[in-house]
Amino acid sequence: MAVIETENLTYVYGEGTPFRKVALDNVNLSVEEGELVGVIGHTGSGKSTLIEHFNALLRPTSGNVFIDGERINWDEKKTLRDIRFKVGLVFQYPEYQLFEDTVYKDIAFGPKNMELDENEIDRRVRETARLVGISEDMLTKSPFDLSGGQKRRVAIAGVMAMEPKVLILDEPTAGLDPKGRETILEMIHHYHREKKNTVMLVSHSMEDVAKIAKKILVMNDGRLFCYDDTKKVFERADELNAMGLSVPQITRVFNRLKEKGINITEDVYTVDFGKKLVEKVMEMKK
Amino acid sequence: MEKFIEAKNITFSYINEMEEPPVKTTVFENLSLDIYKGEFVAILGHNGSGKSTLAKCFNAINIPQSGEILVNGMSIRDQQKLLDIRQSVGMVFQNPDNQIVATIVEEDVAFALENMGVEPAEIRRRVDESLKTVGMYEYREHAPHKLSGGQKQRVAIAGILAMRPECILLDEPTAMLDPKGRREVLKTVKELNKNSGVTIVLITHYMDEAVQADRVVVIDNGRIVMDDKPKKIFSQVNKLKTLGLDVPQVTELVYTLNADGFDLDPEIITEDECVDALYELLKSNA
Repeated sequence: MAVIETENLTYVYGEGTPFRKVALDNVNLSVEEGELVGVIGHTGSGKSTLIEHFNALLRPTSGNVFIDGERINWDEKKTLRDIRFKVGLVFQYPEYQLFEDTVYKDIAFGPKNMELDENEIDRRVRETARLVGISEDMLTKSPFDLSGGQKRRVAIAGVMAMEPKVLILDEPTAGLDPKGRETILEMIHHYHREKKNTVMLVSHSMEDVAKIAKKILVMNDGRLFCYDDTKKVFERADELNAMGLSVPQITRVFNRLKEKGINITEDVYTVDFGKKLVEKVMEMKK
Repeated sequence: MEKFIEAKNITFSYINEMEEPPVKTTVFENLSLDIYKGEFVAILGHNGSGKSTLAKCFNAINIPQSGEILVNGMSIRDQQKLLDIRQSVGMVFQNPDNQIVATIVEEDVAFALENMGVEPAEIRRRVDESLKTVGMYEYREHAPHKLSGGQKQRVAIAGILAMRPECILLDEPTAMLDPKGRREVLKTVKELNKNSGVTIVLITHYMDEAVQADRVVVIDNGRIVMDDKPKKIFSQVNKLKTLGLDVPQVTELVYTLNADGFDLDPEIITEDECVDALYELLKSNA
């Protein structure tokens, strides 16, 4: 079943002014429940505008958005509240949004707003903290005493604790060092495996997306360029390059080997798979 | 080669006066580093390792508690030389939106020159020249906020270039950019170094950028733990991983293949080198 669906979704900024810009142009999309989707696109391609429709922060200029089979009705305040609990959005640099005096309270903020009972809130805070690698003794600390990477994990945990049907993260690894990036990616992967909820990951790093996403959604100039399996998307290296994106370095290497006449039939987008493929070709050579 | 920046036994601590008694956090102790004229140096290190603090010492934003830093022979403690130092060492930061002050591209590039009291005719000349160097001349009359991230960073670089600095420090200039923006900024930086002889110090979390430098310096907990040519640095895969860093995907591929008994050059760090080596290995299957 589709958890997110859009129907001719169009969004125009600055309608009626000289700065009018069509940010989303007739987007038709259907994301199945339980997917782990990477969202890529150049700066200004409409990625952020698109995801802000999914939890009803933006109202389409025309067209419709369906969450969990239900059409978002922007005139009904009550349903908007439900949508925001169903679709959790983690913005860029979410650690700037921490504000409580303990880590515990910060993670509990979302669940509290959902008016859950104390026991349930407690369960969720502890469970998500564990999931993101925040130890019990850190829960009583001030979030401002943590390192940058830890702060970001606490901020993400705050949204995860609401157990949204769809979790959307906008560039969750921006500005982090390689290890910090790896930790966040593993954490997202882990959450997805455990909860089986839908996750969307917006990123400028093709390597990161290749590592965990099963499907990739590509936005280009306000239009949906494609939504397909990771493999299928990275097959279109030339088109991606032309729109200001790229494919992982490892994919470029194997594409070039193919062009040079090496007999490689499969597409490579992770180092692990590349290694296996080289070994397989060597095996055949024997 | 002639030394451009000389840091001798510097110690730097942040002191938090808000606490009682004040809390002192030492970032580095007794650190020494020389940057030579015309070099392209990349500085790597995990978040919180002291990279940015060090870079800010190089143009006298931070003054170490002990030790000496000479920039082109001028001490950063010499108040009389402060403007000369800031003019010869320009700085570009992570977020382009925080660095742009004017509403028109060419006015933004002229900002520092106006402050320096440069003659209007000379300002015109230098602004045009700088914008041409970074490939943004056609956008001189555009509004900066309408540009892409990569374009904004190039405008920020032009603003620094107009001051005719001998050295540019870039602190994660591509962290917020899409793949195309990253390519544009790196290309600009390399051209400045090769064609105009500008000394470049690039702080980055992207290993594929560091690979393009002449020299890589790795900082860990305020100490310089590695300082060598990129090939010598990145072939030490295990050591880098323990430091919370990473290697380019091609180096990782070669490393894992060699661990399985292959005999590939462990100093492969670029896409071209990897394609050539794998082609040699696999070609008889073509």
